[in-house]
Amino acid sequence: MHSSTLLEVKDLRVYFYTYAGVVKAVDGVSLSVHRGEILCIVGETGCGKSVMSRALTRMVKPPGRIVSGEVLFEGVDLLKLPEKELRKIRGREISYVYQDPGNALDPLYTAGFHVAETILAHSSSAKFNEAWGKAVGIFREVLIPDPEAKAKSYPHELSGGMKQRVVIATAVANTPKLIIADEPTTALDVTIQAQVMELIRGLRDKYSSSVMLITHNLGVVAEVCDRVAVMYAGKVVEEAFVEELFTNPLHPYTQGLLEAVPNPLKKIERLRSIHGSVPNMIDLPEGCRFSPRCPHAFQFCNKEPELVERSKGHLVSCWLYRR
Amino acid sequence: MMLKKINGALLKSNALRSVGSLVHDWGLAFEVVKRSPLTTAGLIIVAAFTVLGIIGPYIAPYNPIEIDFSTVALKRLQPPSLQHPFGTDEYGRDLFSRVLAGARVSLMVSLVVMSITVPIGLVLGLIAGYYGGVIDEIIMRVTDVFLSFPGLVLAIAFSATLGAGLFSAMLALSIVWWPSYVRVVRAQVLVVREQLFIEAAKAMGVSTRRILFKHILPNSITPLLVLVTLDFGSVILASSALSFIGLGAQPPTPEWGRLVADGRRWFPEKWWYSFFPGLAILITVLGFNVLGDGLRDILDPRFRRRLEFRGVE
Amino acid sequence: MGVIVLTFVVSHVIPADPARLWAGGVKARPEVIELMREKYHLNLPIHEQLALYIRDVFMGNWRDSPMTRRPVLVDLAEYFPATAELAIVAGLIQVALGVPLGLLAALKRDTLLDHLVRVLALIGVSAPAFWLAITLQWVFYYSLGLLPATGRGIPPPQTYTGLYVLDSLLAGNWNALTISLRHMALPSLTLAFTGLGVIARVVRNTTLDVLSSEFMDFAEARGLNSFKFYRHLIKNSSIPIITIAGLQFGMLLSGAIVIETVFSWPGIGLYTVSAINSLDYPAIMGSTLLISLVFIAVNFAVDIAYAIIDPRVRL
Repeated sequence: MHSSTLLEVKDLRVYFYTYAGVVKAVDGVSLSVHRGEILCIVGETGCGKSVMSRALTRMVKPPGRIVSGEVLFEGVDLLKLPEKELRKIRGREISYVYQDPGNALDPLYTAGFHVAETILAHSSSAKFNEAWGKAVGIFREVLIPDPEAKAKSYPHELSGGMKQRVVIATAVANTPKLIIADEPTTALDVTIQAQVMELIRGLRDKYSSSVMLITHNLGVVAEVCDRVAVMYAGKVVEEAFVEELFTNPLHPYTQGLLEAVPNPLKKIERLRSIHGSVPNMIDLPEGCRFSPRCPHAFQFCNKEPELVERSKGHLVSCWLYRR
Repeated sequence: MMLKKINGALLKSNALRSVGSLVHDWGLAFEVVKRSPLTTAGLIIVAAFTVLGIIGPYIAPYNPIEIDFSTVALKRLQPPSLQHPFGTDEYGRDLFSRVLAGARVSLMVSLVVMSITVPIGLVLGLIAGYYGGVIDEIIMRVTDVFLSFPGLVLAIAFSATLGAGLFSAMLALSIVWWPSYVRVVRAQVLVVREQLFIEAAKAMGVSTRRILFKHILPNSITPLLVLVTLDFGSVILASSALSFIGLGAQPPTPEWGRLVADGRRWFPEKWWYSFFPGLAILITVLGFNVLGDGLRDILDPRFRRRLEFRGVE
Repeated sequence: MGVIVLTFVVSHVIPADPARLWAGGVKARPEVIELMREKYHLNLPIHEQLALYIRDVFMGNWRDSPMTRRPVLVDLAEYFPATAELAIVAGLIQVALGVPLGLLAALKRDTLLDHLVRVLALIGVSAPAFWLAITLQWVFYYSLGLLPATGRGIPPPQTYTGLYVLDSLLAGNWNALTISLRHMALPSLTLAFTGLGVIARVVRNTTLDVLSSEFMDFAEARGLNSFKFYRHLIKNSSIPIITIAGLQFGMLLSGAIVIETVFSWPGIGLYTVSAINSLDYPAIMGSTLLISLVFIAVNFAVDIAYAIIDPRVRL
């Protein structure tokens, strides 16, 4: 294991058992998060990135089930930890920022209460007043104006951007080692999105936490990420440093993605769309899952490719690049 | 009377059509029924009750009302036996036959009450929900007043002043029952009214009446259908309570609640007299409730999603 | 106000001549009938009768009962505590059993227990209370001889509230308490059963709804311990539960009227039924009005509870 590796995921599989069949939402994901970096997980809606992020601390609800894999957090396999131990990790070592701040906060409690409560949950000695004081301090750090008053506000009295700052405040309340942000700006106005992204990056610098940022927005990726993992149909198809990915995308899917949106690092003639649509997750295509949509598909593609390192730090799973 | 009939028929056809359009997936609906033996049981009970309500008096082994004075002394208050499965009453009448005949009374009461209250609720609810403003305000204030009473208490009061009897009981129950339908229909109309296709219909210049009856009504009817099924049972329960305290059906009408009350005089030695009519109420009302509960599951998209997702685990 | 008008309308839906009945029936002398008409303002036009009735209700004059020949308000004051006690105890039983049952059903969803709660709820709303009352009497009194079948027992030596159980407790009289509780058992259980399952069902469905909400998921993601986690669950579930409990209280009051007859429970129900039998309109109006006022008061209390629990609600 790399010395600067904080989290290593090996062959994680999460299946949903439904009447219609087994949905293989996450099917053999392997990736790692280094200390202090921002890793982006990119992929279309339904590619399993959210489910994967929740599975890291075993937050998968039935009918979903983690079928196999390892999640090594500082060398400890979280999937084998008893629930009680895991609870100490959630919110303290690994914290989450949810997509929709409007629903993530309990409407019956004040904003400050959420943060104070999260502090108290992971501290045996602190008193509520103390925790409240800390919460107000954190509100100030996440740039909430008038933190004393806002801490006493109920969620319905706050704007969407403000609520997301409160959610972020709960996430950094215990200076976690890893923050998992699941599409943190999708539910917000465009003008506020940039502010929140800036905030997340600033907090990473301040607490030297690692961030796993889940998004489908390539602009965000180019803006804030250090490394990127591209997911397609429950698998990681390419992993690279951000500049490498944008200048030299290897996987045909990544290439397609980059051609579908204006690329900030590379001039392209015109935007193109990827043919076909996301595969049915119950009845997946044989072999490479992207092959039915792939312009370069050839006879090898009916076997599943593995994720292999092409150049330093650049991994891809595609037969075009087999050694 | 004619109008009421037409209304009833209209309601029925609309209800069926809207279920048809809402349950896009009949296979799934069937799946729900198959997976829920309770719903099937409810359907069977309700069907049996309806059939007995229609043909009950004709298949009853003895005359449920006439007293055979020649055999009263011999046959009175006999315990259940093969000849008289539910025993006999103090006039020697077969209680099984009387309970069978009672199904017709209950069926009639609930049908009458429903065919009065549902159209009223539909029309007032549609008007209040669609037009809003002062009309809405007035209609809702009046229903509020009615709903500030516990329903049965108000029904008892009305029934008491109208005088004991089946007719006044039906009237009293109708007076008490309609406001809840107005509420449900109005709430549903408010939801449907905001939907895009209504907006589109308006933009295309479809007349108000057509929007109300062709678009809003069929879409508002699903929750009403569940409620009506459940309320069929509630009306039977309420009318039997009225009869039990001496209002409602009068002798010799074989009404179930009345039979329980009559049997109480011979209680506990002749326990069967009260027991079987009460059991008949319980089973019938249970049937409607179980069916209504199942219908709600079938029609509730949230539940269906859950069902689709519930797995082998 | 609307309630008063409707109560008035109730008693005047038919132009019968109750004065004759109250004066002593068919053989009543004309002058007595005239006196009765005078007394109950039956000789006035209907709108004046209404105005008079509204004024009197507000002034605390709920008329005299021709049946008991006492002011209706005095009668009600005498009969009401028994009904209040019955409904309160039944309500407490419903909540005390229904809430834990519902929680268990939600946490053990789709297990045998969950299905049992569903069946219990359905039977509860389907069983005629009066028949259930008789059946329970049959089992616990006539067959087993365990519990008394009728009445409230002996009143405790001191009267504070008119509620026998509470009064015995306040007086510290254990003997009286046992007697009251034993008499209370069958009627309150009968009454509680009719709504117990409904409450359990609502608790179950609400709990499931709240559990599937994103903020509960987030609470888990923040690593909250059980106590902190369930605090969010319970506070959020309590809102619909309070609503249904308030509505159920109305059902308890209606149910009490019907089953008090069976248990000879000297409450409003018994009073109303005997008033019905003697066409005692002032008494019927009075008890209908009183029950509705109690029902309205309970629902008002529910609204206040809302405002306390939910910051989004302002009175």
